[in-house]
Amino acid sequence: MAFAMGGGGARGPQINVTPLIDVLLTLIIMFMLVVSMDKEHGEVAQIPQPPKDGKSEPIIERTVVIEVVWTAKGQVPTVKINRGDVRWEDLQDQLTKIYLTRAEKVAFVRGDADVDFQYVADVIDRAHSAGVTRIGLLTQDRMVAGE
Amino acid sequence: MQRSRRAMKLFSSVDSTAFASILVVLVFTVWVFQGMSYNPHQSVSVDVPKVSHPVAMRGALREDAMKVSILRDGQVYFGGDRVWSGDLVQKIQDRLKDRDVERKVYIMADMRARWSTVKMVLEGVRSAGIIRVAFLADQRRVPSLTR
Repeated sequence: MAFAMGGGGARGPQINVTPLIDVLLTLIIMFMLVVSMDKEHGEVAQIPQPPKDGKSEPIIERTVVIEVVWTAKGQVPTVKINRGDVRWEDLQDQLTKIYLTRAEKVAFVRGDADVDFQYVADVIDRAHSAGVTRIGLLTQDRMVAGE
Repeated sequence: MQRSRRAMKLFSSVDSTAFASILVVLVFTVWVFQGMSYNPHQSVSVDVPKVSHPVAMRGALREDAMKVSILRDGQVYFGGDRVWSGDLVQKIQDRLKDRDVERKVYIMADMRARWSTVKMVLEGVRSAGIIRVAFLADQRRVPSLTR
């Protein structure tokens, strides 16, 4: 750091850099805070693998399949639990009720081709909130054992 | 009186210009790095779905994380490269040759992307031998339309 002596002869006017330093220190602290706070968030799911060697899937009783059914363009799709219609606002409560007494908290999610991804993400989110720990995404148009 | 004022000028003062210069460089460096970390998908812009209870995805911030972006119009990117449905399996399998890579695919799908496109990507992921996926999402700040 350089030091200047005040009595070193005639000097011209100088810019006061102290406020600039204050602003820069504030900026750098803000940037560092924003970077440390920035985290990716999301929803975890799994893709069930088809049975190997043509063996039939083990029969799982009381399998829960949540379906997102396309209705019309620009309309909110409907949602079903095991083919039974459920209102969106009741979905989480219904799932909480179903999984309250279950040890295995697994659900499957299936969607129609034209449904916006937002609705499927919403279903995954609500299922997680209702206590479902593992969500399987059904990518093939096949039935799940026990459905 | 005049004499004592002149004597005050003899005190040494810190030249803070060098300090200010270092701060300017630091601010720009942090700013540039922050910009780079904010856009991990190299110019692919996606409006991720908004959900109420997303979980932190620290793995998504890893440099070697396998990330697939799905745009609203159905375009699919693996990292920053555009891919078609058939190429995705090969691309994932190539990355899996690296033993250290996490066996999980992070999907950054646009909230308005059709589920059929997401399903196609999930099929590719499954064919590559991966079961675990994570959908990147943002925290919802306003109530959902379906609530």
